[in-house]
Amino acid sequence: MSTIPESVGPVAGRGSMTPVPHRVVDVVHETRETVTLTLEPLSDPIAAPTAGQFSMLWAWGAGEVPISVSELADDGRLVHTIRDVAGVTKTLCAARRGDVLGVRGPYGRGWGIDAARGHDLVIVAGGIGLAPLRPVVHAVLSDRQAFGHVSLVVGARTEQELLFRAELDGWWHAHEIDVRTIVDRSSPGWSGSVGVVTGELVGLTIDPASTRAMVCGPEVMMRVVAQHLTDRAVPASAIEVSVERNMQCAVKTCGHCQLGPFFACTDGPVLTWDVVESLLTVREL
Amino acid sequence: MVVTTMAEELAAHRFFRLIPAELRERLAGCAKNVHFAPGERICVEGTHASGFFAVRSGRVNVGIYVPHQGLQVLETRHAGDVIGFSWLFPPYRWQIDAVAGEQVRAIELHADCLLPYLEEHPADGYLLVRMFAQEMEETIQSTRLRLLDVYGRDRVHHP
Repeated sequence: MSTIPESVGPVAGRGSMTPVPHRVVDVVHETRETVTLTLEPLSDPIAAPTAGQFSMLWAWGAGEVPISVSELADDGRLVHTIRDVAGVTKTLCAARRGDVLGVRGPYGRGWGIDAARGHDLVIVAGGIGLAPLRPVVHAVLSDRQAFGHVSLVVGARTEQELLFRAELDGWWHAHEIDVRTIVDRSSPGWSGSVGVVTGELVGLTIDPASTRAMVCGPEVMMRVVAQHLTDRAVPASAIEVSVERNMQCAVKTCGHCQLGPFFACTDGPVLTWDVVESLLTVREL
Repeated sequence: MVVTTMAEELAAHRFFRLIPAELRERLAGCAKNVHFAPGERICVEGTHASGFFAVRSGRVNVGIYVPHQGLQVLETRHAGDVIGFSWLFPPYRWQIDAVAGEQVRAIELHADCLLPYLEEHPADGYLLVRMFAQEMEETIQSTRLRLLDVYGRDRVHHP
């Protein structure tokens, strides 16, 4: 891929719209079409992101897209997991070590991890939705005693498309959190569950009064999960979802990601279900 | 040791918990506890559907056998689910295969005992068939969602 000249991106006095050049220092091919890039700043780093926030990643000559942070590094590096859905993401997924990308951010409102301390936590991820929730799992594991019972339910199209498989296995074996995986379609050798994610939620013991939930995935999936949880008396205000909208400027200016009175880029992407439920059923929004 | 009656076990199961106690007592007379080892076949496509199963624990893989490919698992049923609609309708033959994915405890309810009673007591029959219809709706909705292929390549999910 073409990369940004390292001189691009004024550091002194740069505005929030100016991408900061970052070098790709590590590339991990997670699945056939998903790649995790580790980026190192070539100048002053951007502010440290929090779990659930996103950056605007700029591929020289291709464009810019919002990508969630999939790991929080404490050395100024950024870790993003990207799915190739054509366009800019295709270019980003083709990045190699040494390439230079532009980064703006971090943007948005992330997961309410602090508010979840002292509660049971149900984390539900579908497909690439596990990427923005991965830092939540890391936060839970680094301070396990601060949380009650923690469940992670992960849905994917197939076993081959399960993200962070080795990590999932490690979390499962460690027994510190209840990890459940379910795929839409089975393949030879798959011994896990087959169906939609709510199939795995049925088996969870949930104390609605002390449960908080974090859900990320396709909007339809989030809808059925939130419905399942509210049917089980989990308050809608205790369910956080990461809304998917067309974010272009990331600074509440262009209006592409407007969702009723909210802008997904600044008011979200993480919003509570009591706030978004009625908006997500408006077909034109 | 705590001894529970079959009616109590039915009351503890998600599927049966909302039905009237009298009907539950009646159903208990048609039920027995069963266990399946991992890999054991619970029902076989084309054979007589002699009743249905209420899963109490473990995982059951439901699918269809494809020649030279083995069981193609289409969905997994868990504790709280029921397996088997074929006992309700002629020709009373299983349309699916079901295999224990792990150690499974279930309650088996026998059609030979249930169907004559439900025919004679249409109010109870209507209630039970409504409950099965709800299960079928949930199964159909799950299938629809998977047909949507929500994790598919042409959809962008999150920022």
